[in-house]
Amino acid sequence: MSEKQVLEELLVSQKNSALNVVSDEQLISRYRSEKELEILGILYQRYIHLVYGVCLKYLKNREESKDIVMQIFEKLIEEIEKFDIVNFRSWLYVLTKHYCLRKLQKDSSAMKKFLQYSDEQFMESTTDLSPLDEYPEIDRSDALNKCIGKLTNEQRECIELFYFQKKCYQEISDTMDIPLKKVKSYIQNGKRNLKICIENENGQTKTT
Amino acid sequence: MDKQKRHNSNNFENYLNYFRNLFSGREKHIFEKTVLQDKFAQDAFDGFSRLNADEVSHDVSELRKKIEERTSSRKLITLPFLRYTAAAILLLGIGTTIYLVRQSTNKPVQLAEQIVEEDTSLRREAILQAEQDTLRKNIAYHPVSEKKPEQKDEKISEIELPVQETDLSESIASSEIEAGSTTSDEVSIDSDIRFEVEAETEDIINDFALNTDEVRKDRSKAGTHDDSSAKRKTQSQPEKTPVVSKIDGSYDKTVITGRVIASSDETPLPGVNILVKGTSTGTVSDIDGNFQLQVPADDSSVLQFAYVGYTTEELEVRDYNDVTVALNEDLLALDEVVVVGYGTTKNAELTGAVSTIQIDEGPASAPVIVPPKPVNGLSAYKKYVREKTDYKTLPYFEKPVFVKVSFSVMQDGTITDIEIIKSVGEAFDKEVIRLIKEGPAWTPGTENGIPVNREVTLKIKFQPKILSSQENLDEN
Repeated sequence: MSEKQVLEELLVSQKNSALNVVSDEQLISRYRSEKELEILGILYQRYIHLVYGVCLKYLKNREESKDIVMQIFEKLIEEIEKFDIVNFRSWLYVLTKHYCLRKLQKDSSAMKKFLQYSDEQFMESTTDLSPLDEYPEIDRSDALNKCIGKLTNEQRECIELFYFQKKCYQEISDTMDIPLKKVKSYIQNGKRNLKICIENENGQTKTT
Repeated sequence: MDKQKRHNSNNFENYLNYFRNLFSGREKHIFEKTVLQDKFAQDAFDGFSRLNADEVSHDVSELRKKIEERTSSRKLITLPFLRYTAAAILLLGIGTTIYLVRQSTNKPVQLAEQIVEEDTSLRREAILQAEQDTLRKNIAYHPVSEKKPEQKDEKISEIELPVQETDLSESIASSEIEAGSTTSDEVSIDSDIRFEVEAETEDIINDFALNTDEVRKDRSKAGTHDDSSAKRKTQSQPEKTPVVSKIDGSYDKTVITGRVIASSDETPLPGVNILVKGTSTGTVSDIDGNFQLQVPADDSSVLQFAYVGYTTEELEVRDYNDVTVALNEDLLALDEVVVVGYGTTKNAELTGAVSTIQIDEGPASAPVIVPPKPVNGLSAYKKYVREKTDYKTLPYFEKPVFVKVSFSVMQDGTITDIEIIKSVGEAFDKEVIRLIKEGPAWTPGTENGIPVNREVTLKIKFQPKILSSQENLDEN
């Protein structure tokens, strides 16, 4: 009886998702001890939209993505027993992405798509911080300035507008007169290049 | 708090609000920045950008429901139970209805039959065993009509509802009407329709006595033909005929006609599936996109238009006639058509559906094309690259490096237009260009034996330099 009450509480807390009191990891340990599929369902519901989004990105197909989201849940039931999960969210991301890529791999025509993504390494944490995120109040150090200078024109302009003038994609797309998708990719790539560049700079200064 | 929420890239609402354009520029920026900080969110964000917010919201809630169904143990137990109960109630309901209908219609019919049977047997002086004695008695007392109805009436009152036993002296026809009440009226009317097709129903209602008399005459006529089994059929059929005519009369069907076109260029779409939602009634559009479909005339019907490569549209049936439906192209669905391979295979080894496209072979005498090649062959060229690479100009590297380069070999064997396609750094590019310029000569490509200008693409591999101890010493 008390169990059900707890479950109901969980459901309620799930619905006001702003107040996710029970952590993912607590839910996992609960699931491990009680083997109640509903708990796992609650956990999955927290990220189901993200999972669906990722599937959409890689498979580019609505129906297939929906199927995969359900398959991933089955996979989750299977896999969750096998691993000691520290960070469920990142783990789920890796599982999802891996599953999607496997799916693409099976489909031989999608081999190219797979190769395009497979060189990215799977990571333990999904956080993708760059110096720009870490120091939002712009300490434009020499290294950062130097690296921004090395970016391509489009990347530099987008990064400037986004991070320092705090514009959104749409505004940047309007001012620069380039499609929104391009803006996004310029910012993402620019950010990655900056990160690599700054790490190199720091590495060099440390060794000297 | 609000800001906190907006920072949360887990919150699905935020995605929806973002894609529905409900955020201000500033809010958008904050959300975008948050999303950029997390790969999971980034990928999901990219995925969502492929659809519109309504589609995403619809799909996610559908998935949530599915997961709920999948995980809830309670539902799995209660559902079959509910199903059985529903089935039982349904069966019971149908059973009782059939029972009631049969009862109400059959009795008068049966009675009528009995009466007619006995009637006819009287006239023919039939020799049916059970009836014989009573009939003879009856004949003895009353020639045909007087006493018989009395007995009949008693029988009726046993089976049937309260009977007005006032006019025992009345004819069979009137007693029939009283006993059977309304249903018997119907039967007599119906049988009237049966036998006298052209008789007008209004007349019948206005004048029972007259009509029932007619009926009786008809019956007796039929009886004299000794056709009681046929009559049983004809009399039981009327049960159904009024119902059928009612359907034809009151549930009107409308015919919807219209045309399906593509919204992009307004060309007609042939072969579009058109279905009344929730039913199996449907049709397909013809070569000009025209269609015609019978639908129930209630407002609740919805027409569905489905066509491969286009989004499915729904249309409520109102007073529309001659509708034009424009379908939008479904870009996602077009992705579904993929080429999965080329080549030849035996039919027996083939699984799955394969469409083959015959590629035009072009003019009968296809030119014989020989690509350009290095004078001493490719392996010699590779050796040259390996040996002549000037590592001093290159930065240090540990893994093999590939540079893709293209250039043209002219008719006379000169090399021009050297262009780096895939670069790994300026130093490598320069080295590649140097190697090609200074390297072995190329024999030009030919077309039917005639030298032509032709482009060549090469992938040049740089092996990491293995430092020999000798060289190490040298450097020291």
